Amino acid sequence: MKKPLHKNSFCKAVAILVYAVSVPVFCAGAIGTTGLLSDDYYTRSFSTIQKENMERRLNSDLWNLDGDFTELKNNGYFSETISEQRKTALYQEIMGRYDPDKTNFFFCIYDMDDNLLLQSGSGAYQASRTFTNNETIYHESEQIMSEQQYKDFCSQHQYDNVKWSMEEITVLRGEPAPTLPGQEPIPETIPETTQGLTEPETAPENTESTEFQTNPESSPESESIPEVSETIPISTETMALMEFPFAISVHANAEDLIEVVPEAAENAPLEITTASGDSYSLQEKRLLCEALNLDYYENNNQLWVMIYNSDDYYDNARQDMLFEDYFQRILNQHPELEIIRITSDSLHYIKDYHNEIPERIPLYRYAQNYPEDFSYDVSLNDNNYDTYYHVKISEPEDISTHYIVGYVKAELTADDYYQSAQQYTALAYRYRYAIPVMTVLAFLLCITCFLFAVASAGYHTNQEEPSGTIFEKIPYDLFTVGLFFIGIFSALVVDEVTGWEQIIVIAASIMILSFVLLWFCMSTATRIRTKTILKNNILYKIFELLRNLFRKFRNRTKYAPKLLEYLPFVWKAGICAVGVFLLDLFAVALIADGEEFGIFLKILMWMVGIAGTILIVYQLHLLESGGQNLADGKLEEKINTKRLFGVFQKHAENLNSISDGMNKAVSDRLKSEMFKTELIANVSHDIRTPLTSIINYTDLLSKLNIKDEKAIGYISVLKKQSARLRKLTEDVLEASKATAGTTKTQKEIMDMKVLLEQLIGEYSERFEQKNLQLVSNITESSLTVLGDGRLLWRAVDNLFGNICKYAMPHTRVYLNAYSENHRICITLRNISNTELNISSDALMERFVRGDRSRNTEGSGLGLSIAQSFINLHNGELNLHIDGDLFKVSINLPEHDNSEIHTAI
Amino acid sequence: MSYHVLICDDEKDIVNALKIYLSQNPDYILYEAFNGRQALAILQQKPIDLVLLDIMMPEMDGIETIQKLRQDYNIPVILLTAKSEDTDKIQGLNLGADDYITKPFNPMEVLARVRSQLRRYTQLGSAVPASEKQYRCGNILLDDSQKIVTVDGEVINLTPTEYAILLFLIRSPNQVFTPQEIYTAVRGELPYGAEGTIAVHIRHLREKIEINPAEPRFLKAVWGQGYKLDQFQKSG
Repeated sequence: MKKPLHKNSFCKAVAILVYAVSVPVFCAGAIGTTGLLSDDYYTRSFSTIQKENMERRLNSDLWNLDGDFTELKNNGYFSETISEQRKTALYQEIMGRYDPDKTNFFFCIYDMDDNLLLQSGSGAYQASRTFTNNETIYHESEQIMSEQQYKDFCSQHQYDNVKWSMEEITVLRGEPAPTLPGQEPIPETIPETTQGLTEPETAPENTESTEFQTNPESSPESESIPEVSETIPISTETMALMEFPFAISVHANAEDLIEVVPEAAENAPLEITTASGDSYSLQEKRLLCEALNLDYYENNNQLWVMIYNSDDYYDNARQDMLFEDYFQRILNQHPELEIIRITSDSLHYIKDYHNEIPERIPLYRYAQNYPEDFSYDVSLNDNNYDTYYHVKISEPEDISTHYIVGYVKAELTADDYYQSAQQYTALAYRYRYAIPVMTVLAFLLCITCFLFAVASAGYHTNQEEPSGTIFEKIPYDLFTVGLFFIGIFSALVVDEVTGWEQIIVIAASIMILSFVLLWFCMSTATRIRTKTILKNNILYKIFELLRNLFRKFRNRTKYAPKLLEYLPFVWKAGICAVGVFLLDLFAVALIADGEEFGIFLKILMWMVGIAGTILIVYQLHLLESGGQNLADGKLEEKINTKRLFGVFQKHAENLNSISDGMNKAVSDRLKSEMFKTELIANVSHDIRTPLTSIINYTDLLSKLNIKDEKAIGYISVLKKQSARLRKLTEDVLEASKATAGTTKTQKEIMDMKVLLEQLIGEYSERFEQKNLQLVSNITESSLTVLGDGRLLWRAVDNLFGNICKYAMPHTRVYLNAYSENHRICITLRNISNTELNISSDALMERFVRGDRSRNTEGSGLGLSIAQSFINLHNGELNLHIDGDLFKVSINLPEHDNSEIHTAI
Repeated sequence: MSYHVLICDDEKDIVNALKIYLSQNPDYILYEAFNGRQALAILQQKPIDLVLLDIMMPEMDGIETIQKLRQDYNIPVILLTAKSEDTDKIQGLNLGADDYITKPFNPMEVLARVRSQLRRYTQLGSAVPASEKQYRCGNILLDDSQKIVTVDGEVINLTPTEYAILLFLIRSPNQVFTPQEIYTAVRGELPYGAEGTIAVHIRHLREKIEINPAEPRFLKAVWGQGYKLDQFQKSG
């Protein structure tokens, strides 16, 4: 008979496997199909799609800038947002230059010091991605690399295919494009200052063009602000370098930054002189301070400037001096009062680094942290330097310059972000018809396999009935919750990773989820088939437990006070253990808390524990001795249950009742044996009385003068048979007593050799009459046993009697007696007169005789009696029949020789 | 001389049988009773010399009868018992019986025992050994000076070895001697394996001096130990 497919384990395994493969295929296909449909791959041409895709991608990249700018603004870099117009201009410029087949780009925004403010673009992505190949480099440049850095990096890593063409960058003015009145006079000086501040490798000189072409405007810029009017158009040949003439307010948390030092202020009168050396009037100074947003106060017709110190590292006097010195020089150089108010520590830095106060103080990034290990000799090259200092620039009119540097890649490289996107697009387009079909097929396949697997759940090849695996032993609700959490976990992991790793994780997650779903459904089906879905539930079990408990309680309400007694012993012990544990915890907690009561409690617990242990051990001892008595057969000795309690008492009562039962059984058995023996004794007595008459009158008859030959013959038969009957009654009584164990033995030390010799003497004549020759071989000088002489004599006497009765005349009878391994062995061998076609075991039975005719003398009890008596002496009597050779061997335990002499 | 013998048994056939046997001897005047009460009544009326008493009887059993009987008479009492238990025999003897015969009995043995008891009671009852060389054990009398052994007054013919054995045993009644000891005492030399012959001699001796050699009263074998001459000690 063929087995249905769903009961075949192999088919089930195949179905699960196919399911596991088809689900990810389906998922991927579904996502792909959705994408294909939404992008309308089926109606439009490939080039349209590709162009649109690339534009969309670029668009999103560019427009992401919006958010970045907003962030910068929120951080205080810009006082206004970048305008839509500006963004559009930028976008159009880039798009105009963008060739999806060839170019790749990224751009960044730097401040004057070449510090990155913002990065964006596909090139940024590319760069970052490349950097991930080398973690150290990546971490060193948290910001985007400069172009030079990028070049160095590429050469270092042999990215030969990366080619950059840096084209000349012209200045793109912002909307408030300055007219730059001071542009002509200053360009010589400014690049020097910026050069000193920018990182060496990005030094502008080494590029063929001025990619870091600093704006020629610097200090005059402040003056130019009011004149913002014209825009310099973007040269189509050059890459845009955009300047955002925004006032940048670098801010920090107030508590980190500023501390008022009034003492310093008191000792530092501000003397500001013009370039020509004339002193400013008080009013002028006041105006100056207000313009500079300096805190000042007047005293004795002098203007005092409040100097703020941001930390405690410097003595105020030095700061004052520095400040004054610097201030003085600034004022000297720039009589037009372009003053930037800075904190003193910035001056330290500036002075220490440049060994002179620079002409113009650049903007600095705002600092987020104050390092604890502040040091003077920090170099500008150190990437951390910008975190050491902070500047508060409260001058709203202050103008800083920012660059937007765009690096445009000459050619599209392999593995490029846009290129790969383009390839995917091409791929998707090529298979745009296959993918939905495949998806549908995969869907059908996985649904089919899923249904088949669920249908076959619980069945196994070799079993007719459904049965669960080890997982079906897990309670259903626990199983469900467990699977649910596995699913949740696998879904959550997706968010933990990013990039292309996410795709793998998503795939794995989908597989896990689908498998969990299948598993759950299969397990549910199995449980329904094995009818365990309801019962194998933790909730159900708890419910059952509660119901049982409730029932018990309801049944025992009348025993409510004794409720504890009815609790199972294991429960009691468990509750006790938990209680002890909690108490111990409590005590330990108290000790840990320094409470002396805890120690007292602990000692008390130990004392109670020891006392309890002793008590329990004592109870066990009582039970043990009681059990030992029982085992030893001392049934009269009962366990005193008054000294026991609880389960021990119950156990003792059980033991006592066992002993009672055994006692009763034993006495019943004894009684019945006694009764039997008594019965046999009485019967034999009752037989004897008439037997006496029979014997006597037969005897009398034989003495009458009877002539009839026949009568004489009859009388002799009567005589013979009545004698047999007499012997039989005696033997029956003897045998019954022997087997009932009521024969009383009076054991004393005796010599079997003597006994045998006595018997030989007794039987010598009878043997002679039968023409039997007894060959006696008793090697030992004595064969001492502890026994009842009368019974042993009776046993051996029976054997001798048997020989007389059954041995073939004119043969030899062998008697051997010797001691061996503390046993005395006596063997008697003779040749049977009749054929012994009977087994030795059967011969030992009562009323069995060697000859079947049963007409010889003897009762058939002789061997049985002999065996019983020998057994009473812990001996053995064995028969061995070998043809006509009849052998009886007796085996008796030898008595210890050392005691013989004293005893006899 | 005639003896008055009372036969007491509830079984009439046995009483009759015993009467037949005992009446073979014309000296015996026989009386019969069928329970203890009748027996006691006859005892009061007649000068009974010997009682053959069954133990198991209706109305008054043999044990009770012998207890009552012994209060007034010291005549020999032979118990007839179907009980072969030693305890019954011992009880009977302790209560004053002189001898016992177990049923089913051999008529000849009964006659012999009756004769023995009567002789002892009437002729030898208080006889004391005449000289130091005379030894008595029950109805056996050994006169070492004359080298004569009599049983119930009848002379027994013994071989020298048998005589020596009997002499050796009768000197120390109730004491058990091993065959080796007996041999050494009799022959004056160690047996060297010949002690087995003692058993044969003992058997021959027993056949000569015992009424029923299969159930010896005096020359008893203590199985596995040796032999002894049992001088039965009546209690009371």
